[in-house]
Amino acid sequence: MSSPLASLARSVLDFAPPLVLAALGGVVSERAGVVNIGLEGLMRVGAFAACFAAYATGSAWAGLAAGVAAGVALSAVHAFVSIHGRADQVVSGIALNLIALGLVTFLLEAVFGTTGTAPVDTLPELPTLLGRSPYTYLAFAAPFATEWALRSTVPGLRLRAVGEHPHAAATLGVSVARVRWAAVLAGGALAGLGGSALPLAILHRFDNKMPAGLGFMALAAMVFGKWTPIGALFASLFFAFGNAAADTLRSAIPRTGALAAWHLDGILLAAPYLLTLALLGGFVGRAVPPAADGVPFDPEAKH
Amino acid sequence: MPEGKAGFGERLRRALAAGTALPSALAVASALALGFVVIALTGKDAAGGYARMLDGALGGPEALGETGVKAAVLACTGLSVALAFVVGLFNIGAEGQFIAGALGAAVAGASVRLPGPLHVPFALGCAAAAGALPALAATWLKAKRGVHEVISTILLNWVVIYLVHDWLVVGPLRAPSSGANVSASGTAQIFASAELPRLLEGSRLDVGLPLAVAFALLAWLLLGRTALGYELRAVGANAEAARAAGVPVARRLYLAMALSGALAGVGGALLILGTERRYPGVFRTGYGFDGIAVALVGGAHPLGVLAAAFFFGAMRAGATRLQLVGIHPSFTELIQGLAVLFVAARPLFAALAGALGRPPAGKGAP
Amino acid sequence: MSVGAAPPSPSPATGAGPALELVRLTKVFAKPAAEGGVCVACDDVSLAVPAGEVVAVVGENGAGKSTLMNLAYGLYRPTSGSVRVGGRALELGSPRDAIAAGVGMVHQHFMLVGPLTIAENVALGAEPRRGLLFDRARAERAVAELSDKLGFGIDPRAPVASASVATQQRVEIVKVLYRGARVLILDEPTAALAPAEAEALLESVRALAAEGKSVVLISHKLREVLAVASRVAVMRRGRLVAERPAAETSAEELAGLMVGGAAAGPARVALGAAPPGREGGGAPSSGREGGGDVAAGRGAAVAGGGRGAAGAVAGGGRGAAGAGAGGGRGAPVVALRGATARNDRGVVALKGVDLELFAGEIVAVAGVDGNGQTELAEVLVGLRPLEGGTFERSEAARAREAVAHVPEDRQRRGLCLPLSVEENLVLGRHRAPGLVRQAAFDVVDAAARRELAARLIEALDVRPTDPGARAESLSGGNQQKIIVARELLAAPPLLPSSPPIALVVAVQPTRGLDLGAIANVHARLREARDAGAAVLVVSLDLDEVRALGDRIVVMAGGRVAAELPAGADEALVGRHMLAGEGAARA
Repeated sequence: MSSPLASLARSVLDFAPPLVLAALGGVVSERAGVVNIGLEGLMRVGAFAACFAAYATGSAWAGLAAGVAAGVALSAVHAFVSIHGRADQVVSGIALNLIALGLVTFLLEAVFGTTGTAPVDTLPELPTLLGRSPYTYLAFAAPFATEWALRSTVPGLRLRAVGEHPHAAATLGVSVARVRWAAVLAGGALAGLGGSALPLAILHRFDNKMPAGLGFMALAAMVFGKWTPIGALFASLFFAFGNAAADTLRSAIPRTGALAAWHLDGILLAAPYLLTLALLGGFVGRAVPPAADGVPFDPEAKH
Repeated sequence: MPEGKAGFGERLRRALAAGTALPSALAVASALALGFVVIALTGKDAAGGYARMLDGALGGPEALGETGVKAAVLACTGLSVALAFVVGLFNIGAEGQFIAGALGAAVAGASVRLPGPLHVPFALGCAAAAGALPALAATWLKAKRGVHEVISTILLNWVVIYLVHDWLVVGPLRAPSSGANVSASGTAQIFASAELPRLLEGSRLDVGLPLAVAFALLAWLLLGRTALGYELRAVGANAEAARAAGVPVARRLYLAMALSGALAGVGGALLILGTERRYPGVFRTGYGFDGIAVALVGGAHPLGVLAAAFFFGAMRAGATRLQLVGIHPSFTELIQGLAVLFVAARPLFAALAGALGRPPAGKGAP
Repeated sequence: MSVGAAPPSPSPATGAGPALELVRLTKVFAKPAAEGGVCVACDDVSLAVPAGEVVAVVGENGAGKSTLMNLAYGLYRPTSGSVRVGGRALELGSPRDAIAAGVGMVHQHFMLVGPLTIAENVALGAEPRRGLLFDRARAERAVAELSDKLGFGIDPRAPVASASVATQQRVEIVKVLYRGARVLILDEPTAALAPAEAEALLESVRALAAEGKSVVLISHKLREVLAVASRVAVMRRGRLVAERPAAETSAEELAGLMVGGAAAGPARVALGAAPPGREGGGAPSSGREGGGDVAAGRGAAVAGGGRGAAGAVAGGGRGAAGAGAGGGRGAPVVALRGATARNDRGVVALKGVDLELFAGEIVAVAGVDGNGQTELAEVLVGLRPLEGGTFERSEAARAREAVAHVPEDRQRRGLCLPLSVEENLVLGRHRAPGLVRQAAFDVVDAAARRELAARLIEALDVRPTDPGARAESLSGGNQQKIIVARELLAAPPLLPSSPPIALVVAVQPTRGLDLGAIANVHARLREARDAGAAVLVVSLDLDEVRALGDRIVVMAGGRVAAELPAGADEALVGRHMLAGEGAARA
């Protein structure tokens, strides 16, 4: 398992799960009509809560549960403000990110007495199967399960209806608020779960930079994947592959000599993002979000 | 603008437009109160912390100078985000544009020899151009290719950050290591002629602050008093109606985003030319992201942005003192986040106020 | 749940009381303080609908018909009053209880979720299920069965967005029947249909009533109503002003009741309105007028004087019209030859239009909605490119400021809602030399702009009169007045620096206006004509077409079906309207 290709694959399988799960969280929320630009913040609280709970209880499973719970808790703020307050959802999402940024640093300091890396020697680990953590399997199964649920279950049907035309759903007695609450919380759970993968399965620590933009990448993956679960999966895999390939290439560049003098690191690091922009701008064409995405629902609005 | 639905731009504007000064002040006050409770809950000295923060922000010329320096930068990035809001675009890329501008200023300040009165404007111009570049790219992607600007500006942030920090300042633009300067990265020291003149003895306050105030006033005049500004606002309010009325919508979008990027870039330049004096190896200040909060709390109104910039600038300046009571300075991020959340939840407050039988918050700045 | 496959539930025996009963319903909407604080959309309305009958509710736009039905269906929570179905009071504020009690509603704007299939749309909210699973097969079967029974020919698996308008309308009805509805509320069901489709739909309505279902039909098409309903209730300004058995009334009487006796405007004088029985002189009940909507109470005081004056202006204008039409037609201003253009969906909507507009005449365009009028207007103002043919303009009509455009969709194209009334009053003319100091960076001349705004507000009687109010805080009618004032009057003589108006293109310029305002707008259009502009008015209202047009152009199927002289016979116009039936709809 040391050929460049194998290590590339390993790297993709390791780094894709948080991205996939968070992007999926975005899909679930936005398909119900609630824009969730706060994925970065949700992942951050998920990662911190997972690290803290795993450390405090000695159980990685407790960590995982705490990550999910933290995502749900923070997204409840978003749900409350944007569903009942009819607030602008983009602004509320930005607020989530800022709150997570400040709150986690504050708690890190309060709990661990540091603002760098949490001084935890070893975090308990999750069981692995064929050398991969449950996150990897989850990340590949969840998008298909979600796609199926959206298509073939009653809650899935209602969720799609609410995201496209909430007034139509409301006239048929479907509670728009209830469906959106459920979707936002589920989205928060998935993003929190994605965040928890960072300390529990990938980096085995928590540092204050987490998730270092992964949440924003997940947002891009959601758009790139055209707001579908499977699309989000492949978009996330593409991003993970891009990053892994850039990393592999970087480590392949000799540390000295002519090539090193060109400092291609930055170009390689930027390449996946540039490529995504090119693909979004060229290939994918116009992605059409759910029709009511981001539109607060006012039951008595004249339509 | 070839966008399918009338987008959140218009909604955002409406949300922001609906009377501003009082609700924003209430939002900030609520955030401060909640922050106070959070500190108290962790068993720390909240009152002492706040008192020290106030002292660090306003106590004496040095503190005032720090507040002024930070407020100037925040005013620039806040105006940047606000100008994009005016035409209905959400520029999350202010951070990247800020970095691009900072680098532009550092290079212009270190590589060209010009007499004093010309060098600073030249460096600021280079910063503006460098900042405008990514913003224009995002606008092009939006106008021609239908890529949502929130996504493109997020991605462009990373492109700029990686290209600058992992390529340019460690590679082509790195200062030649000579003598005392042995750092592995960062650009060369700017010439003295490119430094921003200081204004206040015993503090780092420089002409950046009056410049930023002037920008805010100019933006206010532009938007409120000129036909061009009227057209920008019309585009943001209803691009379709503006087009029907003969306003060249695409050109106005490019103009607004160019100004937006330029302002963020100048924000970066103020920090480089005023205090850093060179582009350091890593320059992740978060001023660009904070511009979003400043613009939102400031109601996307130039003078509101200025007020919000002073508030958050004071918070940033005072925050270092929080460490004296064992609270990390990033606590201010929490306050910012809560303030933005309360701004977002304004309709909720209005509804609550209505339910209590009082009229909802009154009119604020025009 | 009982899925439509079952035979219709037995209707209550005749005489066992009405199937649906609305008892003293009142709905007050909160509105911005500038508008008076509240709007009484529905004022103490009672109505009973017996089983097996079709009861029609008629009234002008904004009379409160839709509000009343949304109350009946539980979508809105009434301020006071109650709804009874089969004698039992409904729980209000959610449609859930209404649906359970057998009330179904088909909304004026289709309530369909585009990307979902027809079966999914029908089943939504009452899905056949196995646990959490959506039993798609059963839903599709149920839809197919209902469709077969009614002869609708619907494919349950097709995405609803790809279905034609007529099919979507049928899906809406299937949706209601699927829920076992015994009472159907149909809100303007034929508004978007071609006449043949509308006829088929009305046939279905009759069949449903014959089965014992009760139908409430909301419409403002009086002939349609008289053809299918057994009783007709008339609403005006939120109140139920009359109820008549269909057999004992006429379109003329109903029209008179709708517009309110004395107020019958110039367009309807011919109908010879009888004064309404129930509500003498339109005096609202005590305590309501202060807070009333523009369309409701407030009018009362203003209306008397304003209307009289407007009527006089209109009369004078018409006199001039005769003269103008006789000898005043001037040089050609625009000429379309063989013009073809596509609509927003890429379908060819103009199929070779030849049309010349001359200075000093009003050309009124009649036609069933969707026969190319919208696209014609957009081509004329330069907002839609031609695909074929030629478009010539006189020198005077080339400047953008010389073209006045009252767009069809005022909120989409005509206004920047978050901006102030004053700012909206100059949109498009905002760079006129009199409004900016061109020597100094085009700085706005605030005093000049404010003065112009004040005059425009006065001329069209925009309420509230505060030029600083946000446009979005105004009622729809007042928003329309802003556009008309700007397009027709923000020009010489009020704005001398702007070029004179050479071409006026007004699409449904009086939609949503009360009668006084309608007369005012008509007078302004005639003034523009008399000042030498070429005026094109598109209207769906034949009375308006005939009242305004010096020449009447009938559009059908994307072509000019006929050109008729002023005052052409209504039946003749109607016949030409049906010429290219549905061809432009595709």
